[in-house]
Amino acid sequence: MPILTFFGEVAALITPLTLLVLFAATTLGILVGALPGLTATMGIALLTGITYGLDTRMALVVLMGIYVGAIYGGTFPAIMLNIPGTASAAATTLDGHPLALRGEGAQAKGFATVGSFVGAIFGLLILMTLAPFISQFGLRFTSVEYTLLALFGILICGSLTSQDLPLKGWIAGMLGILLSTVGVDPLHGYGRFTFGTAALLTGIAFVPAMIGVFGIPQIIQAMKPAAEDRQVITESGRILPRWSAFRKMLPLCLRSGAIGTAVGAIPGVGEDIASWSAYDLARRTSRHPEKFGQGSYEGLVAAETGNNSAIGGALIPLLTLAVPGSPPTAVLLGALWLHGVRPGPLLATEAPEFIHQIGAILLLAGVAMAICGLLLTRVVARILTVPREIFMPIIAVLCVMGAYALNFNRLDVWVMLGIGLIFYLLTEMRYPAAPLVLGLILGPILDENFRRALAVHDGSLLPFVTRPIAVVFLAAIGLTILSQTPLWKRLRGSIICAVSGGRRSAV
Amino acid sequence: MWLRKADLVTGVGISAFGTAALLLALNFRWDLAAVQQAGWYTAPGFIPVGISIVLILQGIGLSVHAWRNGGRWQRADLSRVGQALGSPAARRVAMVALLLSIYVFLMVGRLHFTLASFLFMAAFMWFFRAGVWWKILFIAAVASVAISFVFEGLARVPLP
Repeated sequence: MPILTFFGEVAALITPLTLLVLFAATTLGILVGALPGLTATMGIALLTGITYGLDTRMALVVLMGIYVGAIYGGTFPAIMLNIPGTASAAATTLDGHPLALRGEGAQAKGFATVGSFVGAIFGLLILMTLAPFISQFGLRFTSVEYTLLALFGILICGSLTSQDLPLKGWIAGMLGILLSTVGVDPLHGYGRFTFGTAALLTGIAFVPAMIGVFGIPQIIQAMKPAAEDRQVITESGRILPRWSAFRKMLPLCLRSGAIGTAVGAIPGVGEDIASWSAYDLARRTSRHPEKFGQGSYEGLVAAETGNNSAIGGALIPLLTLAVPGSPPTAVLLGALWLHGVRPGPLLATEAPEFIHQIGAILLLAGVAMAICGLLLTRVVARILTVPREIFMPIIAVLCVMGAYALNFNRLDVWVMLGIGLIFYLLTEMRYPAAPLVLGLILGPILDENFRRALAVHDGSLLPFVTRPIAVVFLAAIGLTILSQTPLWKRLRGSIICAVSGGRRSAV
Repeated sequence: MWLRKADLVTGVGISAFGTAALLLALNFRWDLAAVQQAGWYTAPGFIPVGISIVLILQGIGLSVHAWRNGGRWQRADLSRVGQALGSPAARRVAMVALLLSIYVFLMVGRLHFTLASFLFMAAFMWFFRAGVWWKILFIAAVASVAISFVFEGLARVPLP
């Protein structure tokens, strides 16, 4: 009985030490998420090194606590400062801060907390329901499907995360794949792009690269403006919303949870897009769309439920196909590898209890998030007044230690800073970070499986267009690329014109 | 408009980077015995060559898009770039990059980590005027000792 296994894992986690560690990690996560400039990804990446010496379960408790806490923690500055602590809280600012300005900040935090909790639990339920089926489905994948899955993941991530041209997202993805080819070729043991340096034979370690990509540009961007205007709005009053008030929000929570989980499950896309998607859907379906952006509780709850439900969603492809659904899960994947856990379709058969274990940790982390979130409001408000000039250099030192701690290699620290500085320039030109990281992770899967598929089929590309699952992936890749071309936009425009013209003539 | 002008240059840069990667990948061993046995498409350079070609095409595509959307450079633009590079924001960015580079490339591994981190944090806070000198020294000292203790003392991670 899977449900009994799940509750068995929950019971196994309820020990004083585990709960203490979980609450401490979740609190730290909330602080990481609350401090503008620090992200969930950076928090997990920095802590991965520290948790290396812990046993797998305890390491996961720490990392999941940080993850859940940080995604939620971004809400605090979004409401109190009008600055999203993390990108996933950007949609929260639209209604959270106007509510705070109206003197309803405490209640806004309460609604956001309950929405986040419901979102986390909704994502967990979908994870536990769908993961076994997707694992079974994944067992039918061969090298052909893995190649196309990796390519699709990078392309869709590039399309959805790019704030400017989708081409920039795709370029970032290709750069990631190229970086992943540095080091010894897994098929023939030949050194690629090593320039005769022994240190490069092991390739570019992706945790230092991720710290560089997500950490260094944040530090520089935080310090770029001459002065920061921080006016923390705090007020006392009832935080926890009344049941009658929240009950009205439940259908909205379920809709936002569904869309958040679905978006979270798309490779590399993550919590920020999930939050915006849920917010957008809530506005479209609301009876009072005019209130959105003016301080609407519906908008606030939709955004928060959306980003927290994406956590469960992002864990689905991570655990079943070894494809991270969001940047934080990309680091989590690295952490799992470090602890000898190999996510993928075989995980359900090799370690069937593992998905239940992750689910149990997510459940308890959600509870810890809600409790700590409601209790820590004043503490976070105080911490938010710490100037960036003080905490940014401390973060820089933590980035150095985080990059070094995995392999005790100074080259990793150099790689971290080098990639970080280059990526800062790309960030200024609106290149997204997520596709680069996903390219770095999925690059070896693409590289190895594409060549293996060709070798198995004597160099023939025919299986890529004859195997049913491959055809679906190929169609999705084609649509992803085609949907960004002017031809598609013209075609779409003419179809819409034809349909509306037809309607008019019918009337 | 400035973004498109930057895109034009970046597109050329990406194509150049792709070309360099392509030339390097073409020089990988394509005649390994295992490759000859399994097929040329298993060669170590196969994927890097493919990705390099895609990058070259993407760079060209980006430049063409930028060119068509107002990314053409004029002589006056160069002086504006000079002005932007001399702006206070650019100087702050350069200073963060410089301090980080000095810390990572010159100090970490050569000085004791706690001392290197203390010097870096104190210099950073001093340059960006985080407070009076004794407050800066106090925070930098406490933070560097605390980070060293957490990693070395608690997590058993040797310091660089």
